[in-house]
Amino acid sequence: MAVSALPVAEAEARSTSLRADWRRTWYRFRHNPTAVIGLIITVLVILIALLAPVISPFPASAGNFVDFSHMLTPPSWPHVLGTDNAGRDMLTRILFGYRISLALVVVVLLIGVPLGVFIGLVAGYYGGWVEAVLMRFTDIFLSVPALVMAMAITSVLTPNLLNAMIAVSALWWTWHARLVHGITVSLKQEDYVDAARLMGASSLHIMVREILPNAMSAILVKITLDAGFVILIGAGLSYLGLGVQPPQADLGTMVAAGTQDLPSGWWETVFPGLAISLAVLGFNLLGDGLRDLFDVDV
Amino acid sequence: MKNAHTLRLHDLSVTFKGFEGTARVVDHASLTVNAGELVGVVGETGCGKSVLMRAVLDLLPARTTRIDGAVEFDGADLRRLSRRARRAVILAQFNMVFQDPVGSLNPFFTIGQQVREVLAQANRRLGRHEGGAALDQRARALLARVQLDDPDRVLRAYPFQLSGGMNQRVSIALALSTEPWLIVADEPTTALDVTVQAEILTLFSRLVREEERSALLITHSMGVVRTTADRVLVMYAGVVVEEAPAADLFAAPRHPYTVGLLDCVPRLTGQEMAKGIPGTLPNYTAAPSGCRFHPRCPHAMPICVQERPPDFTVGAGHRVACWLYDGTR
Amino acid sequence: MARAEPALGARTPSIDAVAAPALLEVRALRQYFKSAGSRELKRAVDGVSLTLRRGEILGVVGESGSGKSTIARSVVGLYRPTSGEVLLDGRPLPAGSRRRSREQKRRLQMVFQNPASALNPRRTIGQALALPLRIHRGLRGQAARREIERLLGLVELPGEFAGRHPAALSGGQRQRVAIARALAAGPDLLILDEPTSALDVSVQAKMIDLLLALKTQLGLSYLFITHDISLVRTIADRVVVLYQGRVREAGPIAEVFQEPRHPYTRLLISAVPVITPEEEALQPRIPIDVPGNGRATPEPDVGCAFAPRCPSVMERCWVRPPPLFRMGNVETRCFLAEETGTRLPEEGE
Repeated sequence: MAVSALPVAEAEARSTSLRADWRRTWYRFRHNPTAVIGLIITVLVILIALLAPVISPFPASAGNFVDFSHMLTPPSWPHVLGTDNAGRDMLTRILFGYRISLALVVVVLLIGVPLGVFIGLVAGYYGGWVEAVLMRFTDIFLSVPALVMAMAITSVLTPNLLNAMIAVSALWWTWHARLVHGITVSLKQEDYVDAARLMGASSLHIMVREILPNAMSAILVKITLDAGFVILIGAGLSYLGLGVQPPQADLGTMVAAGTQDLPSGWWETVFPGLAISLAVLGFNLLGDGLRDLFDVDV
Repeated sequence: MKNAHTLRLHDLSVTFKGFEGTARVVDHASLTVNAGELVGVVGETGCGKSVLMRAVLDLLPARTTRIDGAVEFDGADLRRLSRRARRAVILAQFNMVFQDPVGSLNPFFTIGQQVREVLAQANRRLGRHEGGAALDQRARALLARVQLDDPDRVLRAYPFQLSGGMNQRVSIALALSTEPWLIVADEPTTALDVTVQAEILTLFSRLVREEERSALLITHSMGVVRTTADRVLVMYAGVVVEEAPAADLFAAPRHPYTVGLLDCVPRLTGQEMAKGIPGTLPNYTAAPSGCRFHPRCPHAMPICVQERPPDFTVGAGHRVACWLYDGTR
Repeated sequence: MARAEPALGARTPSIDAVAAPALLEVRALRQYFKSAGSRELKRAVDGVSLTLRRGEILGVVGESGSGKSTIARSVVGLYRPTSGEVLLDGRPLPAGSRRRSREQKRRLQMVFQNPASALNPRRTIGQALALPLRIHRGLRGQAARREIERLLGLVELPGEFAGRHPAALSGGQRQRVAIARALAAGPDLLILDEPTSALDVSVQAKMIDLLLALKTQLGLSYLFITHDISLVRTIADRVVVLYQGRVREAGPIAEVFQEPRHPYTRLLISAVPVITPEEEALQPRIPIDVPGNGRATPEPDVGCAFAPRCPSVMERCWVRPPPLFRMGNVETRCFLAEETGTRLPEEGE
């Protein structure tokens, strides 16, 4: 009941320009502190991942590098975050670790989201037995916890980054399928869908051009929230030795490897762990902010 | 008279601050409700009538709203009281009936639970205590007052199980339960069928008069105020443009907007309606100078652009904010 | 057959209501819905027949639960009728819109009630208008753009609106776009489902003016559905009054309003909050606050659904569903007309 926006005159007085619409959206976003923080962190993480080779102080540390003269040095100059038990610079490895984590996110979402959206759209639009078959199929996959499924797949195939990505993708589409299915079922009843049908629009047109654009904001919010989860699962797999293999620097592997030097060499575990938390936090805050902005029920 | 109170809005202005700028959505509005009166406030969407009502009931967000002017209850300006004191007066003396009966009743609770809760809360405020049986008795009596047959069935039901008309009767009963002096009804029948609307309006005005209360009826329907209100105020773009006893307003409307509006209402005689009022509602962040209606007025004069018209008296209790009625010109 | 004198000052009906050919015919339409959860069948439309002649405005009036919106959707093919048929120019239309030909879809278009949901919020106005242009008139690219601008001009909107999204438009403007979209295909008949209910009175007046002008300009016929009694009186040529899924009264507008036969019609007209004494004089004097006579509403096949609220109810109204009677140009479903009217046979008898 509280009036938080200017009352809109319903008569012929409200034609604002397209640019004003965007500015209004940005204004609202700007005034949401969590969203802004999330955006900053997310952009930071992405930049780091892209520029890792350029900005890391000791690029060699990312690969097969050993320097026993400097092993396990605590955080100090020039190794600001210390070195691990092979003498590799922690900061560098963390920066490169972001690369791998984000690569995982990109691949998983690139495969999983379109597949899930497609299945959800088709199931929701057609209904009937098509919906029943597709959604039960989805339910089966949904009932298996992601990490367990990923573990199962990667223990059968050779554990490496590629297979880890495949394993996670194989599950990720299910969430989007369910999300889009729900949205499609409710949007299907909107007047503008009826109007398109009355015009003679094809089912394909209705699904892709009428319904899908209205689901985009929910999908977008889900993607940003997913990113955090994918990073965590990837890190989890690597921690268990089923994902990225050394000497590739993945944050999860680093946490695992570092545990053997606890508690004296704490920086080997703590910093990679914090790095994971930071990235996940950033994506989550951004997702929350977007959700508030779009007022979406995800 | 039992409840001899008075509510007087004096030069009330409400300004919102938002992305597009500052907007004065109520502009120096004055309004009086005397004891035993049913005052209608009529206007189209965006005219400020709902905002006006919310300003009176202290329902506007403090951070982005500025309210100027006085809201006097029995001579004391509520705006000058502390928030707590103001709320105390409002809770004791006013109550409200909303437009959407389904929206204002909680769908998760039965009618009985909601009525009992409202009664119990009122008791707490007054320091009274009543047992469950006494509350039930009062709840049943309340429903009988709004002519709901079979009150026990209604008390057991959920809002979605009742018709719109029945839900609105419950809303009226709830509003009456705190024994307010003034009931504010915001579009109470807009969501109802026309036959139900007639019943509810008859009930509402009868209850108000029989119980010697006062009411502020806010609506966009000219027909509704004509049949229900004693006195009518017409609002346009945040300004009260005309005020008159109901019969006088419809027999002899003066303000060009009132005239234009009445011409647009479809008639049962079947005669053609006017083709609308030319122009559009103003942008409140850049409102027209002088009289806010001048860009759309067929009788606009140079002074209308320069100066905002004051109220001119054109009859007993009949005032118009229009330069056409300036006796000195 | 003599034509009734129109009421003083009323709009002259556009055509001779009796002689013009039927463009749209609805025969014994029944639309029953299974409500989720309960086994009961909801009889939204329960045997409605009506005729719309070429060039006329047929008003369909009723309150909530009357079935008027359902009729609109069934006629246009969004629902598949439980039984009954819809005929266009004497030829039956396939039940669902999916089975109808492009030509059939073109001829029959609909304007929805709620301007906020009738346009896809994520598509621009231009995109919304381009769809029927592409499908029904094969226009694309530059030709489509020109036509979009022309259509917007037809509904008195500036051409630059083509690039805007519906959220940037007011309710009245969106409704104009909806009308333009319905016209884009080049229809013969528009079904308007409460097109002005969500609009302010002055905006409604402009919209009605536009609709009447377009009708004359483009030679359209309108099926105008509304709950606003005064509005239907002002613009319709003939009217159908619905109550709980059945036609209670139908006939030329002036006749029905001058002397309403059915008690429900009388109740409707008397309940309107009018603004002039002249209108008051036309309203039947019925006490609004008639306490219900307490008896349960008869089932549709058992008695008259209006019986519990009817001031003139008779015992037989509870035990037999009233048939349709004709009295002059007006049809009414009420036993009060039994003496003076002619009983009309209906489908299924």
